[in-house]
Amino acid sequence: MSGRVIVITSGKGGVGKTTASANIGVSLAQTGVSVAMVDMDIGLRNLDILMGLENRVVYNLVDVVEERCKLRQALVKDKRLPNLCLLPAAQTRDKSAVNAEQMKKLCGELKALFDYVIVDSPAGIESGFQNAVAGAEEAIVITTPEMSAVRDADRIVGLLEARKEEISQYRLVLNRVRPGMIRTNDMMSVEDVLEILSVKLLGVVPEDEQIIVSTNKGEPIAGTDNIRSGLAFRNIARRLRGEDVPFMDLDELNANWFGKVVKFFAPARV
Amino acid sequence: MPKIAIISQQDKGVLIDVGGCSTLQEVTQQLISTLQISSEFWAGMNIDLNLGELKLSETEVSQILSIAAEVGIKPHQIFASNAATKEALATHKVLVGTGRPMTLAVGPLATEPLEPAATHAQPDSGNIRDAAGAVPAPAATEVHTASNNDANATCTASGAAVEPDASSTAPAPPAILYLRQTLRSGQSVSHQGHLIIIGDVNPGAEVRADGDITVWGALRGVAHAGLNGNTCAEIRALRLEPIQLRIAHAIARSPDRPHKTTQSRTGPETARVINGTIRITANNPD
Repeated sequence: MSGRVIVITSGKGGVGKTTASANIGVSLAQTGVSVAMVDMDIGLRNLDILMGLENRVVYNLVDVVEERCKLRQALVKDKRLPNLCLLPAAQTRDKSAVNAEQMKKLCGELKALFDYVIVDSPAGIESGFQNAVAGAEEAIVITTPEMSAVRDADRIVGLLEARKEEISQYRLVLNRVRPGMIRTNDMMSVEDVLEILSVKLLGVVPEDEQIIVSTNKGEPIAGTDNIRSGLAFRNIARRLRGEDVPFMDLDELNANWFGKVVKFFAPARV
Repeated sequence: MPKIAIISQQDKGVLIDVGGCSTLQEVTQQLISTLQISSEFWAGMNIDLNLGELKLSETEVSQILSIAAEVGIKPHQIFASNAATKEALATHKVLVGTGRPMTLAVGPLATEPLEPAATHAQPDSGNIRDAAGAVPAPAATEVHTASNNDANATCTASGAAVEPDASSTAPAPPAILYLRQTLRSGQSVSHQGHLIIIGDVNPGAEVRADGDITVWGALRGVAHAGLNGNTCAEIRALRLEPIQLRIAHAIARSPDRPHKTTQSRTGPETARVINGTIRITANNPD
């Protein structure tokens, strides 16, 4: 078996890399494939908290790299999905604890065991990022509709393009979109962002307060039905698997009955 | 290897190991954060410094010495493996350490890996209160022979002599490291005797000791007592709310969903190994 190694990266911090990693990991696992999530944010590990697996971590990525334990021993199985595993980062170490060669080797071992390997990259473009992308074949760039985040995403796309031999494709996920603000021209639209970045779109995730709740609970939102942001992540997973899933109509999202009436009469407005 | 480690050298004071740092900036940062927070703790103590493989110039060495001097510390001897650093140290008339400096103890977890089946992927019922997920502890005899720094002695004679007894031919009782500091996420302390922390241990921080761990504050991170396989080691805290507890080879983790009773429970508690699993009991004054 040879799985796909996909790195999730953004450049800017706080745009939702880890949230996206957790939710894409859960969504992929829900479709029945085996998935390993790798937290590369050494020293600032969060993915285990989002997954609610913090209390089960015994060994971590650095232990594996430094051969203090076997890879199998460091993998923490998810609480709900038996085909989903997490390789946690070390918290008491820093980015210099691993190098690109070691990451390549690790990703090679993981993709022999799993269908999908999701690597959560740290913010920034320094060694942490370089290590995270070292073993990857595909990339998902996360950004939000803000100038600063888009600028950083553009920088990341440039860095990914420079690694054409290793990274075969990279796609964009636009996170924390507020359709209401786009309507009033207070936020960049999906089209605006795509025009700047000219990267293939993988998904659009609406802003959702429930994400905060799910983060604190340690239960990724993709595991819950009937939540729009969760559905967006499930759609992303299906697109990753090669399905042709139409993008959801964000306009319907925040619209009350009045908005729907307006839309009925002026459907082409946004 | 952590950036900074505080290692007890039994009766020879404390060794501060900054060998994990790769730049001078890191060293100064680590020293400032560690030394200044607990300056009163260091005062009057015999302190050695290990610079590891760092290559430092004369001015860089003096920078480090002045940081130490600010909190009233003059390192007794400094270990360095880099030749240039040794030369720089010599010009400052510092005693350059000979022999091998002590290093962080590697716990039994590292040498005898646990079976993942036993530690991971457990059903949700496992939690600290009912202490599921424990791994069978090694036979008691193994513990005795494996350890020359026998923290096991405290099992029968708790509250034994605090001061190491030099005249005795028997192995010295474990030294105690007393830290007046809150450990934050990412910080870790490892000690070859008993460990006492006056402050909190926050989530993401790790405390490890061959002997007991006592936290006068809230223990919210990971604690590993009985690193050398001593199943008699205990972990106690004013507020015992850890992510994970390990005693020798036994592991217990916090409940996935905190019970209401757990949250309302306050007051000091002690964790110890009973029948191979970790149990927590309240320390009621009665």
